[in-house]
Amino acid sequence: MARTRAAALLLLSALPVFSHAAKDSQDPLLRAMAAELNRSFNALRSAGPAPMYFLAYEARDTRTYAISALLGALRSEDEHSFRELDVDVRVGAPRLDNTHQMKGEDAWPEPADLRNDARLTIAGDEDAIRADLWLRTDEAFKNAQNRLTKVLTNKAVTAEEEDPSDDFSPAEARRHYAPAGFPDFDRSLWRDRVVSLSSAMRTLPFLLESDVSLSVRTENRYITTSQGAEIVEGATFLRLSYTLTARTGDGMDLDRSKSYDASEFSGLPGQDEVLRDIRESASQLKALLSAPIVEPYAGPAVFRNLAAAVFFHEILGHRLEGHRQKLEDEGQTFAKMIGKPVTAGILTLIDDPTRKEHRGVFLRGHYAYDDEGVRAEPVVLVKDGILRGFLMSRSPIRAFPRSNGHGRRSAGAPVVARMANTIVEAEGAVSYPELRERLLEEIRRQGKPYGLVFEDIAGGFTNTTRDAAQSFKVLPRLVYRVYADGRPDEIVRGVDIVGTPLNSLTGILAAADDYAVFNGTCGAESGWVPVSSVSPSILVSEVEIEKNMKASRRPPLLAPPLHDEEAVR
Amino acid sequence: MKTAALLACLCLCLFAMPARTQTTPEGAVWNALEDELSRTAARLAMEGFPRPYYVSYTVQDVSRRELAAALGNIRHDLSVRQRNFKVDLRVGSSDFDNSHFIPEGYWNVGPVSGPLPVEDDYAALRQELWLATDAAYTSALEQISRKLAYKQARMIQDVLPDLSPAPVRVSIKAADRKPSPSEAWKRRLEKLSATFKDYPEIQDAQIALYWTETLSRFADNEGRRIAQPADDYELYAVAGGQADDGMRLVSHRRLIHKSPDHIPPFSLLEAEIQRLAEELKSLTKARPIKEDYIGPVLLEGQAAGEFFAQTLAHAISYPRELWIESEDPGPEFQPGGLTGRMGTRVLSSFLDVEDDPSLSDFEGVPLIGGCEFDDEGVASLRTLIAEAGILKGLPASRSPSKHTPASNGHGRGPLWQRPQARISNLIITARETESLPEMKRRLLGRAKEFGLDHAYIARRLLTSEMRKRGESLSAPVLLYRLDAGTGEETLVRDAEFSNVSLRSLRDIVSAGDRRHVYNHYQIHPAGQGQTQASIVHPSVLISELELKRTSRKPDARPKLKHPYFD
Repeated sequence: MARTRAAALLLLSALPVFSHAAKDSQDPLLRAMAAELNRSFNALRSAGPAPMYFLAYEARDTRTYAISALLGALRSEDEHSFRELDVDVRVGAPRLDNTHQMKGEDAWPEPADLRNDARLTIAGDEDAIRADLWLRTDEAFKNAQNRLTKVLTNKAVTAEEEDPSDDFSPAEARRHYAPAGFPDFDRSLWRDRVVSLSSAMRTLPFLLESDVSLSVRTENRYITTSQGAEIVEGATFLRLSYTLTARTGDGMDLDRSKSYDASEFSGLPGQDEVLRDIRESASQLKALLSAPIVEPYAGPAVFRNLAAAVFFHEILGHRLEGHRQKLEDEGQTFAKMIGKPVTAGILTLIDDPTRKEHRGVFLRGHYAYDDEGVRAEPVVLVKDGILRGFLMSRSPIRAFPRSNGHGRRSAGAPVVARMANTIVEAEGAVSYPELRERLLEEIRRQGKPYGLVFEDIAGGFTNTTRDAAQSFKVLPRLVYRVYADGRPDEIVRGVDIVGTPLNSLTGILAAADDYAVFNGTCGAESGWVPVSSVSPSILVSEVEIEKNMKASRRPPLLAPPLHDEEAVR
Repeated sequence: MKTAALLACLCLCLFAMPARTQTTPEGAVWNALEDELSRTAARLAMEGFPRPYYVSYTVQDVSRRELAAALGNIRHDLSVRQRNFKVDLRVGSSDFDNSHFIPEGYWNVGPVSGPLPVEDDYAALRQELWLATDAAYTSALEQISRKLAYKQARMIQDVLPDLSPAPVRVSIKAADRKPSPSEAWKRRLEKLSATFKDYPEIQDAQIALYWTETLSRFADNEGRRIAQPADDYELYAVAGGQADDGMRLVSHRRLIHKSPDHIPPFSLLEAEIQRLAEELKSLTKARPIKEDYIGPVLLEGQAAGEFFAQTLAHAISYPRELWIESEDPGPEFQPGGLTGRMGTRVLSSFLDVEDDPSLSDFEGVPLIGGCEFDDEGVASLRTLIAEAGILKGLPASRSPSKHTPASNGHGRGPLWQRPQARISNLIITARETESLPEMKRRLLGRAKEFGLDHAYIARRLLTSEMRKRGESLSAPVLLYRLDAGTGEETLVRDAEFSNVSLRSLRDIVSAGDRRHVYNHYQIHPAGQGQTQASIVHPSVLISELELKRTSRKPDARPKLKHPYFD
């Protein structure tokens, strides 16, 4: 998991932080964290062989509600509350501490000794919470001492590192108190809506699996550090989604799905809109079932806005995560490219966690403070094709000594730099029909039989480490073959996009002005974090596709029961 | 014809169980099961391949509430409502089918299982049953061809049938339930967990309630239709601490019930938690066991129950051998160690054993291992296991083994497994008994014969899932050194049993005159699920057991004091 920096983007939702009447001084979780942190830091800072110079707690207080429906029936309904805790202990000094990367045989994957997650007490009693914090802190302290010993030996017996940066950068300690409450909503109304949407799928005889789901998640992050940071930040993520799957006669599993993300129920679409989308997805799926399989091919292509958003996230975004520029096993594709061109000159790429929406559309990657308690900042990563910066946590790299508030994780994993709201802006954008016209011209210019339009991408894998090629694979869900001779577009199936980042990014010829937001959940070595990616449609001079893996299971022998007249009541 | 047989069975059931309401199978779930079952039996076929000869569906409606408290506070509160199912589909014939075979690269080839919609909706249920049945059929065809190839390659001649015949029964019972635990149980758990506030020796303690109500439905193409509740109400308390030398110590209480009415009154629970806390406190002050020991050991109460669970109960269960393609499948896949010893002496000659699923209590103490029908829809029958120490019978499922050609209704297991024969209520009776003081005198007498100046009494063992890898019997929690001279008992810690074999069942030299009920979960050694089980047993004196100091190493004690006591 830690090695495969795969980022299969799913969809969910995030946001608004309504200030609570409750004061931070009355919040029992925060009080317990502050008290135990204080007690532990004072008593433990010089209690071991190496000084403890930093202690931080991050607790996540989460409540979730989820319903799912199948063919007009309630499949499941669950509501849970839970708390998770991470304890970060640093011993040694910021110059070199226990979190330092090991090289050689002791390198990745990192063993459990950096991981200190635990379930906390749910009720608001300070005593019980402090008892949990006490045991986890003790364990983390001992592990940190232990690891520093290993780090010092490892550093002595291995070659000098290319990037001699410190292990921990200074950051301003902030206080912020903005918890989010779980939304008040009519469960029976939403249950009915979800069930009713799923009943639309009863009429589709070619479906195997199908699902309509609603998930509501409120997460409050509590962060306290021995440097004085005290952050409580809440967010609510709503997601309504559906999936339809089918299998072709030659054993290929196909699916169409869509998600709607918001932070408030008013931000979710109405029934009619979702029903329209379901019908459209169903007709696409039906068309895909009889679509021809494409042979391996290289030629010009258009990535539609949502597909382009996923493409940039996978191909470029992950490679601009700061720690990848210094970890010894990383490909460091861009480590020494600051000030040099990395994409076509028309592109600018920023990452801005402070934005809550983009042109009125909800952004799931928003936060005010990252998981190290550092205030989030917008960062220009690429300006007019020239590399300008990296996503930074408190792990400094050469020429980038400080965090820009992108240190993120899910519970149980050590923080690394991650994307939040990644936004692509393009110079000289044209309308989408014009972009399509440019594609046809490009097909003719290259003398190719056809071009491709990628409408939808499921996600992908990108390898950023040195032990394999610096390549990526992106999994398209909906692809059209486009002909320059006036023939209609043709839906095709069975392809993956493959390539290497530097080639692909410099071959971008033009962009449209049709920005769209992809809201997803990104997985990497620091866990799963909510992200957004914004992009217009783009035209690329050459994309390479290869045949994808298929399950090779034949379709079921008997007809679906609902569509088998002999066998249904 | 079929209807007549069905009605006859219904009448039988009515007669057998007058107390409960009887209904015919009806409602969306049964309709979906019936229709998909008959469609599968009639029409599921792939050209050139055998059709299914046996299909069964199990559907379980589960409603679960979990509550846990620590230091007077609820720390965990979870409600889950699920409907899960499995389809067991077999191709070939009852003499040779796709079951009882694990191909290379698999750790288990069970039935196809998964979730079903919680709503009673005919269309949605059938859709899921259809997909799973199709997948089960394809998988069955693949398995039987691999199994046939294995049989031919290994030139296996002696082949047991795969499915024994069994009477067809129909019994539909509705669940008769109390409302799920309310705020009152939260308060009770909080109060119970607050007991530990008086014990600075205890670093971490928790008391949990797992309130699980399950309605299980079973239907097969041979005509069985069974619905029965399978409820489980478990209280689990665990407390941990460290001795001065850093050795970690843990003790627990697990009370499992089939009905919430059987949960002991609060005052008794309070006293039990108090005892647990006191126990851990004494353990932190106890001395480690000094030297290795070979000699007589008296197992009292829970310790004797856990001993019988890990030796006898396990050894008479899982009689059917699986064909496993892997060269080194591991001992946990072997049949129980006594299942091949029919007619030989397996226990001391003054002991008789039977397994009686029909018992609901023993001398007023509720038993949890019983059921009316097992997970294959077969009526569970009382079975003689041993007479005067001689093995006479075994729990049996519809998977025949050399000594269990027919089922006695003991086939049980989790949904992701085909049922395996396990114990239900195992009743151990001694023909000759002694009082505890007499047993202690005999213990010391035996010790002296060994030339020892002391002997050991174990009063509590860790449960089997807390057993270390490779351990033959889980470690004692409460172990007392009995001085032969003074008769004084001293609590010792850090001991483990070593080299405990099934021989120890024949080394039982004395049994107590009081019998205890040990309600527990029988856990399959390969992690293949747990089932409710009861053992009624006396305390026992074993002429020879080995104890040694643990190889576990201590952990440094926390640098800071527990914040509550600081």
